[in-house]
Amino acid sequence: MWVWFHKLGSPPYAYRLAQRLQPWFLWSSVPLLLVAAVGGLWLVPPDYQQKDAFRIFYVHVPIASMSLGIYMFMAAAAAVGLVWRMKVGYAAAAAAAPIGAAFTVLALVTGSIWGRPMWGTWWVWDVRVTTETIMLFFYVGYLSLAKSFDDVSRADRTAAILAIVGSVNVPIVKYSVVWWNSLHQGSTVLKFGRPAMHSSMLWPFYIAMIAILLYVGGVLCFRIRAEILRRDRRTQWVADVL
Amino acid sequence: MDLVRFFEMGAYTLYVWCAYAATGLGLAVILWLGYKRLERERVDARRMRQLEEE
Repeated sequence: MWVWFHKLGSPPYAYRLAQRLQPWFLWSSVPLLLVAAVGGLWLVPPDYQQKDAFRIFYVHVPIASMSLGIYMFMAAAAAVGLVWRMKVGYAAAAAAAPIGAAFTVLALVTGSIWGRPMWGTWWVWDVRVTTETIMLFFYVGYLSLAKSFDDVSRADRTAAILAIVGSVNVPIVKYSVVWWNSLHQGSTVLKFGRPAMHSSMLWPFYIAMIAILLYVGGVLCFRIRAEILRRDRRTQWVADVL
Repeated sequence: MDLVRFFEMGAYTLYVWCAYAATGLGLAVILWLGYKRLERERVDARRMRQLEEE
């Protein structure tokens, strides 16, 4: 385990691993995304209260969950960079930030589209919506901070601290609907105990979660490779790879 | 559920389609930007290598 971890800290090894994994992640996500979309749109029965509008669940929840997951990944990678001084850790954090920011925007957009028929408004300063928006600011802050220094290692360290501080917000987003009165519905699937949905409506959600996870893995491989190239462009191994 | 039933779903149909279209478009854009970023870094690294060799 530790040997693999230290090997992962080597930029050429991480670059080649990402290069090898990328097509597997991306190509396996495509059929799963299609199956999840067909299942969510056509095959599951409508909800007894929300009728067909609940079908947005199959895109909104995986996207929103992933926006939190990517943040935790980014903070963990930044912490690895800070503690073990691994360049690959910083590269992974910098690679995850734009993907996470885009997923947060998508979660807010799909949530807004779901909110219009269910809540009667596109936007409300509800605690879940507000904390998710704060997370978007952390992503944007990280990206801005990472670009505001000429010295890459200084930018990495400073942005990593912000990423770690911002991870405090992740459990607040997750449990906001439990801790406070919220217009947003409570957790349906990703909670302790049994899911609050019938199994006939659950299967596209699980497929969508796996598909989105694989998709994120694929895009992350693209960006990790780009970040490693940016940091190591003067080295001999990059010349060999290119 | 058949296609006719889906298009008869009423007012919610538009919202559902908009959410799925926004997600599909978003995922496509994220993938495209990731690919372009990698291409740019490869070109930059190659150019730098050429300049150093010259």
